[in-house]
Amino acid sequence: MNGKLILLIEDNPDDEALTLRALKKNEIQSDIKVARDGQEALDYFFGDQGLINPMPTVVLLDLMLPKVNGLEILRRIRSDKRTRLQPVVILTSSKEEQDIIKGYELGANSYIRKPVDFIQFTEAVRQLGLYWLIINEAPPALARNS
Amino acid sequence: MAKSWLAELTIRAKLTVISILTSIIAIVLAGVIIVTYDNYLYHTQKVGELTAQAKILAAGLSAPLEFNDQQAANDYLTPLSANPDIASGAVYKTNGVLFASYSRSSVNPPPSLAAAHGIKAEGNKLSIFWPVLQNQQTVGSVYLQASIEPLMTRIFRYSGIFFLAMLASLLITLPIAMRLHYAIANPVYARSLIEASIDPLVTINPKGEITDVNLATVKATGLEREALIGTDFSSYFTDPAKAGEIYLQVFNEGLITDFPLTIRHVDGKLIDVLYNAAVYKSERGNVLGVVAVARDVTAQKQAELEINRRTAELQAANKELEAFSYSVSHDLRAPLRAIDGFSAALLEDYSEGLDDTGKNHLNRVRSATQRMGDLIDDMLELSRIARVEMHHQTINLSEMVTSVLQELQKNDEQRKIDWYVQPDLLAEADARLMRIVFNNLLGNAWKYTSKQPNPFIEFGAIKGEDGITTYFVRDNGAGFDMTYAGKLFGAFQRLHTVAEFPGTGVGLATVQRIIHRHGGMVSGEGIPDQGATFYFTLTMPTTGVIL
Repeated sequence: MNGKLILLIEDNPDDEALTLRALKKNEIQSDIKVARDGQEALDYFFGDQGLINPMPTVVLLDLMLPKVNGLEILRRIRSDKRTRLQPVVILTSSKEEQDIIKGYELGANSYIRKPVDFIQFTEAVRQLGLYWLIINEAPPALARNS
Repeated sequence: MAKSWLAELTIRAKLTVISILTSIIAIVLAGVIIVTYDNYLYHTQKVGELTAQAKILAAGLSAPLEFNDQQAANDYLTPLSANPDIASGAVYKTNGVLFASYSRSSVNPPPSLAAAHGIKAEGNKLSIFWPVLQNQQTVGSVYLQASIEPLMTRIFRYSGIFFLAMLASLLITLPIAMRLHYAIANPVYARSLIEASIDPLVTINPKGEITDVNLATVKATGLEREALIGTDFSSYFTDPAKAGEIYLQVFNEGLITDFPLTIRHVDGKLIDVLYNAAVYKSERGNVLGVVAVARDVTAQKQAELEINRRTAELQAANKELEAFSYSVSHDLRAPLRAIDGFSAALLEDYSEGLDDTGKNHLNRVRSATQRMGDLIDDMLELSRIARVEMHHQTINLSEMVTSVLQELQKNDEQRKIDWYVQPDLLAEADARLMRIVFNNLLGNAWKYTSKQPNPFIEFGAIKGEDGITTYFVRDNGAGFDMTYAGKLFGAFQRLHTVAEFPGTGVGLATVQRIIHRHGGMVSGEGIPDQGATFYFTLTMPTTGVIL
């Protein structure tokens, strides 16, 4: 692998499968780690293994999550010195204005609404991967992983 | 000086002074007139009496004169002593020589020679010379002198009488006047003022005791007027200490406004009131007490509570709706995405194992899920429009319409549509919501003219007689049958099949909701295959928000 890592925070196994399928079909070269609820996501960064776990190149964050919701995870990531520059892309079903505003207020790097149409969904994931893994220059603190 | 002296007097004292002065002036004037008239009468009467006496005397004395009988003449004169007013009397011969005389005292003897006939007044004396006639011939003269009462004596006597009369009249009228003044200066009209008030009104003395109440107070407390007067004002409130603050504040500041208290009715019913009170003073500036008026705000408070309750309910309902929408947007879409995604995966990964019918079925599954996704989105949009906060501003509808049409053109470049937009139509409205209205109305016009060889879209306005502007969007497209006009604005109601024209049927429902929120009306007119016109108004609601 090329040291790139995507952390997918997603509780819905269907969405997880579809996202992984879309990534694979688009031949995005990256390790993928999946956190299936809010607590698991927080543990990845701040748990026992937090210091050992590699920083993801990008986090794909769902908002409706069991235990700890997506916005809270984002707030925690942004308030910790070690993770505050972590690129986070909100990838959710909601296009509620309040979610979009809240997301950006808390420092999301991007907000993407999952389309129902799988073709469109695949296209969104393709562009997302291309942008964050290849075009985008990662913050310096994260560069050590690559 | 006199003015300021008068000004310092109380109203009641002023009234008393005025009535005393009036009666004095009246009595003095009457006195002067009576004295003058009496003086005239007295003189006339005295003159008449003296003349009559002289005539009688003259008639009796003609014989003694003729016979030169002095003794007989004296006999006629002597009885004059019976009249105390007669000072002296005499009889003269034709040559004027004294023939006989009578005199009450030696101080006033009759004159020794006769003077011209006639009456003369001299000081306190009235004297008369009168001819004694015998067969029309003057045979001599009689003389009489009477003392008359001096004018001053009479004036003094009258003054005494008038003074006594005045005293008597004052003794009688002053108490009456005082009573009347009291009635005028005090309670008669003041009481009617108190009673005229529909608000509970009380007067309180500086000790905090009620001195007067009106019927409204009786109703508010359930106690009779007699039972209330003399009792402690603060005892009729749920919070007597707070009620006591009324006087403190009023006595310090002279006035109190909208002081909230609660009156306790004898049957336990509570009445929320706002007290307005002011001190009232004597004309000399001494504080006599407080006038306090209560405004019953129970109904107002209840209405306020009711409004708060309903607002809370509405907010709760809105919150619920928001939560519902939120959950719909997340939870309903996720399974749809899975259905579509895995159908697509099947088509991609297992296309060899599927015949055309199988593929067709899967494609139908996919398009159905996509349509359901669109329906969910439109439904959410419709409910969002009902909840979104409105911001009114002046907007140029013509520019907005042009911009929407240009956007439609950009997304559908192969179509060639003529349009006319009436310039500079301004309106007070919410710009974001109006944009949605035009997206829907013009989007419909765009869509339903797709089978028309010479499509035309128009936006304009008509000013009604009532001053209300009606805007319209007109097209020459597919139109509709007016039989179904009632269904136009219902959510998910469609007058065309999806195969003819795509759509979810939420557009016009959205338009109607937005127009209603602006206090306006919307209606549609159509003829099949000739076109449709949609009219709307944007009357601003004067109060509240119409949902």
